[in-house]
Amino acid sequence: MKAIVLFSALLLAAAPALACRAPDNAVQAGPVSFAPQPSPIPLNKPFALQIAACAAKPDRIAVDATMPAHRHGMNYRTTVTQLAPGEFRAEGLLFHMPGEWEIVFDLFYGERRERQTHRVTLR
Amino acid sequence: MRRLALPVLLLPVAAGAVEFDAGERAIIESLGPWPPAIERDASNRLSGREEAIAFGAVLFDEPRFSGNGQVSCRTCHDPAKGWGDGMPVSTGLQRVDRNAPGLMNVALHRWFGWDGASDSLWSATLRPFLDAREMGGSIAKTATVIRKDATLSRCFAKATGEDAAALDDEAVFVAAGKALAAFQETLISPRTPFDDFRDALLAGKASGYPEAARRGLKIFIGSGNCVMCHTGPAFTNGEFHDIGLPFFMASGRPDPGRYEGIKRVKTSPFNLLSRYNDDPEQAGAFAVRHVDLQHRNWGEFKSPGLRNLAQTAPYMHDGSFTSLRDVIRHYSELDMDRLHENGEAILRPLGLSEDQAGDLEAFLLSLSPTTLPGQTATKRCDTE
Repeated sequence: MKAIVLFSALLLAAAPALACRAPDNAVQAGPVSFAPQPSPIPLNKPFALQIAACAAKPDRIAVDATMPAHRHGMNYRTTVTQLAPGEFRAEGLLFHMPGEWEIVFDLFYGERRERQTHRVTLR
Repeated sequence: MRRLALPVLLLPVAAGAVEFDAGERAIIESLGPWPPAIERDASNRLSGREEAIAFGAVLFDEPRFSGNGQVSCRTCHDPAKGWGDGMPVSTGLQRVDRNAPGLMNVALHRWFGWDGASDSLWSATLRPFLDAREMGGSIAKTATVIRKDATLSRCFAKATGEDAAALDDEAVFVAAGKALAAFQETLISPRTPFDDFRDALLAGKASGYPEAARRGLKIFIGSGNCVMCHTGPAFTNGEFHDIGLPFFMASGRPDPGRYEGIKRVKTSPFNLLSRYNDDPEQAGAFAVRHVDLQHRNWGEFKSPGLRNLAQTAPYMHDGSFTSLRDVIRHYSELDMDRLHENGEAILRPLGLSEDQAGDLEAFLLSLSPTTLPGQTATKRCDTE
């Protein structure tokens, strides 16, 4: 019995290193939690997003952003790398104008795509 | 010191000064401080080095790199003309298609040239050497001139710590561009009446900033939406926009602008993804790595910084507007049919009255210094 308790405790201790974890100070957007780096998102400077989708882990994620009122997007294309199951990092974002931006997350589960958006205003 | 003719700034301040709310004050704060802190360019090992700056100043005036031995950087970037040439489009060995932008504050940019075909100041500096219509030189010729001239080769060694004779032609060529960039990084424009007003406003102090300029500032950051693209202390977001200017150049050919610029920077042997980037982290390569070629880039040109406008007429990438009032009239009476159908939905005709146009002009002129520093005597690069 003691051995089982000890084994369970060891498993629990190891769990945080293995589990899908939302980034620190993350913003929640539906199934996606994300944190910009640097934070807050700077105007006209490059930034990255640390992303987690832990409830249902997508195979891959695509990230883009637009200014809906201006009918344009970024001048840069992001690259997304998977860090661990459910955890991703998007590089190559730059918001070159002040105003309202919409970050678009496309989560791919096999053939199925789920879209999540989040709006943020830069001054 | 040279005094500029800015009569609009000498108008007396009328009673009932224009006020700015908290949101406007936040935007005004973002347009400074000035002068800004200039960070060393990590991609250029010569950036900020005194010996390289002195060497770059000498190279800037050196005509022997050109095809006919008569064209130097200064030919199109004259300090007495805001480091431009005062012409609608420039003439080196031949007439080119675009206006020579002034070099003041060029260190603050992310992209270089009207089409952003370069992603570093040093690589942008190399381009005119090789353009047949500008300097018409070559990599080999540049290296040979430096190696054969005792002063230049000595200055090269002091600036780079290397012997030009021991390097291949391309390495000497790139190092010359980096010394030229180190020199240009020092070209920071003086403070302006706007800077004094901004600082006074934030400190809650009185200012003699003219009413017309204040009203123009309100238009600039408010109804005019100018600040969408002309952001930050340098008054530019450094990105590219279609503003409804004709696509065709004087030659009758279309100017693809940013569309071609992206293709060129991606394939340049001197971009920040190349072996000539001195930054092991390649942090500055973000832009060329991620920039996205889109159809809407056709006919887009870089938003210029707005400091020193009083010195840098004529305006626009093609030099088609001779006065600031012409520029303001363009935006006031904008022909929407000239804009990309699938492009940005930012611009609309401002419909300014003559008084409002005058106010906006007064503000824009307040972004130029009232006095200009005389040309600094160039420190000789071969002296101790």
